[in-house]
Amino acid sequence: MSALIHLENAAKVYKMRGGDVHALKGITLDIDSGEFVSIVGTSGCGKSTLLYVLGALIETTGGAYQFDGASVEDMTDINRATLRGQDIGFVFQSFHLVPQLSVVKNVMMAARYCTPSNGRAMSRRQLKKRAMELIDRVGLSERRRHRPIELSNGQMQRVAIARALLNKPRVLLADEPTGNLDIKTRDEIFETLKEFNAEGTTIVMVTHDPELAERTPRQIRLSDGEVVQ
Amino acid sequence: MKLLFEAIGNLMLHKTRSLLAALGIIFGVASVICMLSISEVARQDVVQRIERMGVNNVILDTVEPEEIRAASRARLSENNETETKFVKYGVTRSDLETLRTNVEAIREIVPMATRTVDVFGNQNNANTTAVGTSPNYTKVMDHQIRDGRFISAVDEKNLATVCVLGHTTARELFPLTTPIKKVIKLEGIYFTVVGVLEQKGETGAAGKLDDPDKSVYLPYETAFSRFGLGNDPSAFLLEQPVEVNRAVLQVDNTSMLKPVSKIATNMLDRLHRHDDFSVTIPSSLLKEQKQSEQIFRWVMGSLAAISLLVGGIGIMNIMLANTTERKSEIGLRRALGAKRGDIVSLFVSESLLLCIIGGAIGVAVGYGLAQLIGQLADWTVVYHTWSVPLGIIVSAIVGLIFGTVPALRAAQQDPVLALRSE
Repeated sequence: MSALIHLENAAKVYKMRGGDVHALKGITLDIDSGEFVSIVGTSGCGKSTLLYVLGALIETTGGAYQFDGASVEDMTDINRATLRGQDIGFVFQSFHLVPQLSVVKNVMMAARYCTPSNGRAMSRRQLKKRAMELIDRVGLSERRRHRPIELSNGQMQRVAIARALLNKPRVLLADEPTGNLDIKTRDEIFETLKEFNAEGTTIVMVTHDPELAERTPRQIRLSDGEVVQ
Repeated sequence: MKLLFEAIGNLMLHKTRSLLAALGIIFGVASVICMLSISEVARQDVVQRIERMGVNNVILDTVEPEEIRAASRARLSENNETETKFVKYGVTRSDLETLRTNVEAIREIVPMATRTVDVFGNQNNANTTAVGTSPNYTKVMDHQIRDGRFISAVDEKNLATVCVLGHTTARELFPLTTPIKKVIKLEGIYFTVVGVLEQKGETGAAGKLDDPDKSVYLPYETAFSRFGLGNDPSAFLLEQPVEVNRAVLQVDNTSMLKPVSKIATNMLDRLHRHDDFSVTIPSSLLKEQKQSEQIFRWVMGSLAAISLLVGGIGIMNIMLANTTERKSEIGLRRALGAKRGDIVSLFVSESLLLCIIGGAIGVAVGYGLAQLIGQLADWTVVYHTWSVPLGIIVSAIVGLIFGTVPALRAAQQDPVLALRSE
C-alpha cells in the first residue's frame, strides 16, 4: 500500500534579492495514513516550509510530491485549492480565527470552500451538527456563541482544531499548535490531537518543543533544510 | 446567495468604514439625480416657451435700428428731451399686406401692436401689456378662450372698444367675479371685456420673453386708431413710431418655414431703408435649444463621471485598506481551500454591494434634494423613472471597476506570507 504523503527529493528555493535561499534540500519521506508525525528542528531549518509544501500552499522547486498517489506539482492552482479544502486541515500557532465571528461560525467557515466528494458531502444541517459535535469534543459547547476575543489562547486553539477537522480531512497539519500556550494547556491540546489521531486522522505537527515531539510515535528532524533523522 | 450574505456580513462588521466608503458614491449619484431633475425643469420650461410661439409660425419682430437709437441718444445728451422728432421704423401693415399677397405659403398673418400700460377695473389696477391684434390670434397662437369670445371682425370693422383679458390680468382685476361685460379703463379709454383667455404661460426664447397671460387684447384697428399713429388727438400711442411690433406668419407646413422666412427677409430688406426687423423661426430655436441641451448633457455627463470617478477612487482606497487589514484572513481562506477566484469574488461582491447600496441611497438623497430645491424655488421638479435604475447600475459598474483592482491584489497574495502577516 502506497503512503498517503510521498516526498521524493523535494526542494524549495526562495529567490531573494540578496541571493537564493535553499529552504528544503532534497527531502524524501513517506507518511502513512493514520500516522502522528512531528517535525522538529531549530528555527529556520525549514520545518514550516515543509509543512506548507505538504499542505499544497507552497510549490516545490524540485523533486516530486504525491498526495494519495496524485502528483501535487502537476496540479493546477484550482486543484491544489480543492485538495486543501477537502483533504487537508490546518492548525496555526496564532490560531487565525476571524475576530468578528462566533466560535460556531469560525468552525463552519471551513465548509465555505470545501466541495466534498467520495460520499463526504454534507448538508448545511449536517455541517452544523458536525460543527457542534466538534465544539463539544474540544470542550467548548458552553462557549459556542462567544467571539475569539472572549476566549483563552487554549480555547482559541481548540476552536482552530475543530475548524480544521470539520471537513473530515485526511491529514491535519499543525504549525506549532502549542507554541503560544502554557504547559498545562499544551498538554491538553496535545491530548486532543492524539484523540483525533486515534480515530484515524493523520497528523503532522511542526514543533520546536523536544518534549512534545518525544511523545509522538514518529519524529522527523530537520537541519538546514535536510532530514537528519 | 452565499456570497451576498457573506458580503453583507463583512460590510456590517465595519459599518462606519462602509458608510464612509459609500459617501463618495452617495453624493456623486445624488448630485447627478438632483441636477438631472432640476435641469429637466429648465429644459421643459424653455421648450414649452418656444413651442407656445407655434412650431408652424415665423415670427417677424420690429427692431429699433442702430442709427435711430444712436440719434435718440444724441438728442438726450443734448438735453433736447422735449423735442418730439420721431422717425417711423419697423414692420408695417403695408408690409404684411405685401407678404399676404405675394407669398402663397403664408396661411395666416397676425399683427400685434404692443405697449406696456396700466389698466383699471373693478377698483383694482394691473400693469399689463396692451396687444392690438386680429381675430385670428387665438387660432394662430393656439391660445384658447376660457370665457366669452375673442375679438371679432365686426369689432375690427366698427373700431369697437372691446377687449379680451389674459388669465393673469383677469385674475388681478376681477379676482372674485367674472370680468365678462365689465368695463376696464385703459389709459383713459373705457373698454368692455368680452372674453377671457386660458392660461398659456410665458413664450419666446431668452431675451425675448412675453407673457400672454399678463396682457389685454384689443382689436388691432381700434388700438391703431385710438392709440396708433393716426391723427386722433387722444391717441396714447401718438408718439409711437412703430405700427406693428410683432407679426406672426403661419405657414401651411413646417417644410415652408425656411423658404417663407427667407422670402420675407428678402422682401422686407427691399422695402425698408433701415435694418429694423428680425425674422425668427421658433422651430429653429427648438433645434438650437436641442443643441445647447446636447452640450449641457455632455457637461452634466462629465460632471457625473468626475464625481463617480472620485467616489470610485474612494471605494478603491477603502477596499485596498480592507484587503491589507484582512491579509491574514485571506491567507486563512486560501488555506481552507479558497481559490484565487473565490478571493476576487469575495472582495468584488463587497465593493459591488457597497456601491449598489450607495447608489440607491444616492438616488433617494438626490430626489430629496431636488424636491427641497423645487419647494424653495417654487419649481415643479420633474423626475425620470429611468434615473433610479440608471443610478444603481452606474454605481454597480463603478463598484465592479474600482473593486476589481484591490480584489485582484488580494487574490495574488502569497497565502503563506498572508498567514504570517498577523
